[in-house]
Amino acid sequence: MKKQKNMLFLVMSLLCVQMLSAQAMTVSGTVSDAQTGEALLGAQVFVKGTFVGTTTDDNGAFSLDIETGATLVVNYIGYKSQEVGVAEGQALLSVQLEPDVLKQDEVVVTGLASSVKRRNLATAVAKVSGDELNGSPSQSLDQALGGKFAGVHIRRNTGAPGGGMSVNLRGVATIAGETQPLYVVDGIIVNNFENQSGIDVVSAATGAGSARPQGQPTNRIADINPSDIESVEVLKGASAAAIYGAKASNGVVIITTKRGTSGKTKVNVSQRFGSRSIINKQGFRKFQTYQEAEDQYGPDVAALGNDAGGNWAKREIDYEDELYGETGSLKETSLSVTGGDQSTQFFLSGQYLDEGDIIVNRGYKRVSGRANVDHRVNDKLKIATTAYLANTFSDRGITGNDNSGKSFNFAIAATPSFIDIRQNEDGSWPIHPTNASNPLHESAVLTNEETVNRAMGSTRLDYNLMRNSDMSLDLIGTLSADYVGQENTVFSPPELQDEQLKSNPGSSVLANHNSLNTNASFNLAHRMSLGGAKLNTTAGYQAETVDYNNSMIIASGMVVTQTNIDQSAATSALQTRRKQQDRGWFVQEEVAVGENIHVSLGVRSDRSSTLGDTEKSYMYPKFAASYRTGQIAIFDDLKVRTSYGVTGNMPKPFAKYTAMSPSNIGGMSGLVTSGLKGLDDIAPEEMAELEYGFDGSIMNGLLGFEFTLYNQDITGLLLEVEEAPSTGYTNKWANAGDMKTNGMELDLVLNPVRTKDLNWVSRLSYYTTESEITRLEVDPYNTGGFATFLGAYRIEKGWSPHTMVGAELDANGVHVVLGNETPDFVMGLNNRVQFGAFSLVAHFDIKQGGDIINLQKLIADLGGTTYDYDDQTLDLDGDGTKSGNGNERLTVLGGVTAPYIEDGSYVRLSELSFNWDVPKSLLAGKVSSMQVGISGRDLWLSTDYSGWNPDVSQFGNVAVGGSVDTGPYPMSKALYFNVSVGL
Amino acid sequence: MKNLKNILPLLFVTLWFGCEDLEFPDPNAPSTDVATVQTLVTGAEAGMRSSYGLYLREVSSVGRETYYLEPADPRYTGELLRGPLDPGGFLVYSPWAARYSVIANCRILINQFADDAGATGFAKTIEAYQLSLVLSMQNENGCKIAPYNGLESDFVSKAAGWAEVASLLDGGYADLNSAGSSFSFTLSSGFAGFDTPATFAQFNRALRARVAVYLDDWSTALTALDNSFMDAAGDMSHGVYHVYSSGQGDQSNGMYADPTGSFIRLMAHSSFETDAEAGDPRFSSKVVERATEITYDGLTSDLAPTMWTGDYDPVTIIRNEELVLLKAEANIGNGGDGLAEINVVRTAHGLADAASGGLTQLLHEKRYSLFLEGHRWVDMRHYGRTDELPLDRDGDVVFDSYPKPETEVPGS
Repeated sequence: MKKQKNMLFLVMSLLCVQMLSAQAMTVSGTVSDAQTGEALLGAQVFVKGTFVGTTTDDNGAFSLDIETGATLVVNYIGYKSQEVGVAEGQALLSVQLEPDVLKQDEVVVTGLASSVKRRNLATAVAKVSGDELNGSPSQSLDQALGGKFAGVHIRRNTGAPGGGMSVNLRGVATIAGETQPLYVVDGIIVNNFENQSGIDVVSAATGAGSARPQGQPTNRIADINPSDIESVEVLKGASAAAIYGAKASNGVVIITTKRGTSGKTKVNVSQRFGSRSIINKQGFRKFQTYQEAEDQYGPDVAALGNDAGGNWAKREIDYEDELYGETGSLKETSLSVTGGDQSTQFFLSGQYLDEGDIIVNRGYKRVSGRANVDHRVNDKLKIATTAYLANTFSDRGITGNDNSGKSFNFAIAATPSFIDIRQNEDGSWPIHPTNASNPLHESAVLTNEETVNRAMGSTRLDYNLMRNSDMSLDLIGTLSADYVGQENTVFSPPELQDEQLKSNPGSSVLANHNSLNTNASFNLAHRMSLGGAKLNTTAGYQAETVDYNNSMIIASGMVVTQTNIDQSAATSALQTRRKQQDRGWFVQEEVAVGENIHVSLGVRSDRSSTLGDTEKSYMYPKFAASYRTGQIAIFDDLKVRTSYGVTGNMPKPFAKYTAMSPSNIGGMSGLVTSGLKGLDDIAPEEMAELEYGFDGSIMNGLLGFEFTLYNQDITGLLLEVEEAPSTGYTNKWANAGDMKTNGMELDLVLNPVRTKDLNWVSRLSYYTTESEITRLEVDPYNTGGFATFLGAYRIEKGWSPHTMVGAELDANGVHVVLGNETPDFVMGLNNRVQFGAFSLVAHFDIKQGGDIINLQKLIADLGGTTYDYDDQTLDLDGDGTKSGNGNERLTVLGGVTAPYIEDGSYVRLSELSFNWDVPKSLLAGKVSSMQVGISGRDLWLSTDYSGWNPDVSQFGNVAVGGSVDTGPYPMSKALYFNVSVGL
Repeated sequence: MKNLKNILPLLFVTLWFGCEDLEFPDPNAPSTDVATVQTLVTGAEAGMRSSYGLYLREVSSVGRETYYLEPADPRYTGELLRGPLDPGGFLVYSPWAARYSVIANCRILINQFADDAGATGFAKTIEAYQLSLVLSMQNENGCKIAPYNGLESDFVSKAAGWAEVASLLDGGYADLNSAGSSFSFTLSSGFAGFDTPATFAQFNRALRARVAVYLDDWSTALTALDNSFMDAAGDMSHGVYHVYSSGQGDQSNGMYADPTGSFIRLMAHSSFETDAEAGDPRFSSKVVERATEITYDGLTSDLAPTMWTGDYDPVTIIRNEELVLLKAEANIGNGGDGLAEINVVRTAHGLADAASGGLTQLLHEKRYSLFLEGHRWVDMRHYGRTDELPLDRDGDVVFDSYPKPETEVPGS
């Protein structure tokens, strides 16, 4: 709770430099919360304009030797800074700090070794604290980030346990490149790969090793325990992120985990129990008469809907309920221990998470442990280490696109409600008459398991080279490593109906992904006071390596009951390796003139082994400036800021190579041209962004606002463009386009009620973005999806890259725009009310626009089971009659795609929690604090979208072409009861 | 400053890292310059099978020999039977791209290994074969005769395309005749009996005969047949095949499905039964009447193909039975009735002699002898008889040519 510290201030606090002066005095005092009177442990007290200072102890007390007449500055995270003049003879000070709702004094990291207070910050950086992040429990960090600040749009690719989410900052910055931001956890550049499970091979959605996999994988940021997080800082724009250079076009998310505090060892234990159930069901078609069934399916199948007497039984079995009606039980136990003394502090945590899910036998488990230790060796050298281990296990079932009839959603779509495919009393399973497989049987015996072993750690050394009253020079070195060992096993037993049709029934896939990411950085940070200005110079060098090895063995013709890949009739294997070495250096200068002006300038240079010319360095400059007016008119404070930066987006690691592929026959190995022509002088994509905005607050913090406009010019877009196959290649890489993206972000904080007993803070974040392709060297083309008439995205000059088109062409033969994946706006509304010991938090996520290609509806139409098949509201073939929606859509299929492109707007109650801080009077024994409450995730969803999830992507985290619904794992809501005890 | 010496290690490290060479080769795949004759030949053989099952399913659907009833993909019963074919979809694109990938391998062989006559003979023959498959689909829209240097080229007309096919086959034949007694490479078991230059040349002539018949060049056809492996007294199934296995990197035939399965996709058209002669083993051995019918998208059939009994059974490239019928066809073209050859085939299947010869009888024989081998649509179209093919639903059509693939036409 109130025991967190900022590490940077910890450095300063342990410096006690004796100043020899003719008029020295010792001042002491206490620092407390202005509203509650509670003493603040670890508040920083230092002499203004110098590095002379200390921190308060357990009782909020401090003592410092200073020059008479000096001014002290008192800081504490979450509170507004205060300056106190010390008059001669004044020996005891009592400082009361006001809570900083608008976070103007929050410290924000602006470089690899530098930080600035938010009130001076010249770029738009969002910071979220661990408490805000974990208001309601979430399985993974990316889910918890949703709606917390303007400029972020989180899309859940699937509702499956274990994650699989796209975190998108400031709209589209690429077409074929990486889309996810860079995650830096305690200095570790974290592995956030999406590793395929091999489910594509079993479902036949696409071939093994396809360039457009569809296995809806998880991404590895999900392994991190969100409760370990102290704060998350998101560098949204190029100027803020330029310091990370060629990897930073999608923004940077800097995560700091909790660290120990000196003092009595504190233990916190918390336990949660909950349940999870489906949030948005689709509905299904009901057949009222035998004739209806016969018209759709023919007499053989329709006869199955009759009862023993030959009369229509009017059976209406809800197969969505049969498959997704499970209520998953959730439990989570967390433990944390923090403590230490003046020279060593530690934070230990452990978590056990076991979440069941809405499909029987599916779920997610995680066991994790962390140890963060800080040790001050002497007054010059400090060491900080983090170590994190996690083991996760999940089973995700089989959903999404498939060409074998196995996928649960495709199978339900082919299952009319009047046939009964539930398990027989003797334990056997009925054969499905209209589909290749019986989904209930599949659900009972098919496994799709993912086990991840994760180990990551970093060590940071801070060495103070020199320090005097005007300047300091520090050497900061960080070494970190991140290891992922992921194993995926998919098993489709031979007794399944669709397996029996194969000549080698039964499939077993074993995939192993091992990767080791390391990075090392060495920085020098020079801080200087010069007159009224503070100068901060940092320079550093960074080296990063990636070593990844993935192997997948696909076995078919399994021996009955066996899953081992050698208990099979045939196996095939795939291996992919990736090695990458990046080197970069940077220099940054930050100048703060008085309290009003802040300017920062920097440049970063990058080389990488993935680029065509590995000797060439790419430069990424940045510039930022802000001016604070102080008190003016109704504004307590008003800051105008502008910034400019350039960042890059690296090409895919193999894009520079032109390879031949193996193609074998009769035991002999052969080679064919692989179809993809590499670009041997490939260069990174470049984004130049100009950002300007203003922030401030009015009426003494009643309303705070942050407004930003940004324009991004993206050049050298790397496109995998289609090549005429008659050349021998079907695709090639080319730096073939330019794009512009611009947008607006608005964050408002309203604090209408601020009394001792009742405090209400309301935050609104609103953001809108749009993109346009400004140059395209190749002919316009359709990409994404499956085929033009099934909905595709069009890449054409002058169009948004997220434009959806279909078969429809206008009178001039130009594709008709049917939709756009980019939302019109994304909004987050968060209300936090504290009354006495109770607190209530409600968070709404709102997306307006953002279209989805709903192919699940087409599959249901083809299977004759769509919920609106019989409704007569559409006349699509223009013949003047409404012959049933399903019929109408199918009749025009191939020429009309619009009915399948739907608006994905929604309003969702993402978080709701109600907590009670048990008063101390009720606590017994060693228990020092206790919190009890209930919380829920995604409890309510309102949307017109007819599919399961109004956020979906069949193709994972692709920039273009993802928003396609082919029956993903449905989203679920979770309700928890939590108890947390501090000792 | 005295602390400068503390910075020296940092500088050292910086310089060390900074001077590293970051270049390394592709860890995952070889590049074009390491390919040998053997790997290119094997790659071409293996690649010939890619999307060939798809090709057969497509031309058989258009030719109303079969349906492909796939609930997960409405294009097989929509686009193929009702049109229009989407020039950007996989039905048009995949067969085209797969054939040109093999052609690329053949081109590398012809350009890089010009002094190995056996290799160039092989390559020209295979390139011609692949182009003939492309032209069978594209028909009036022609094809591209790519020089394979990665550069784009324009479409040539149907006539020019077939002329190129003929010239490649003849050039290949000349190379094979000067290639000595054995190849410098090994072929798969699909070419058993055809794996020396002399016997492979017979395969070349068989293809040449087929092409000549398509072009109404009857005399060339008859000459080619004489130099091929056609044998009126021999086994009708003797010929060249695609072979498959479950080995590493190998393929399955993409045609097999258990005929008794609860749901199968490839089903024969019901007219195959209604038009069959009583007791024709070419009907009864190639399909079986199922207990339950399969229905999808308004189409129904209860005839499941039985030509393959497993995922790794071979698929025909060209065989003796077709050659005998080609001779009949060439004779008919020359004004005869082809009855002698027709009866050879009928006798081989234990059928009584036909009453008379002529084109209609020949087309009937070809239909049953070469069921699901990719000939029906091509033959009916050749003689302008596509209007005789049965149409099942309102709006169904039989089209004449596939559209040009979108990616091959600049500006589309």
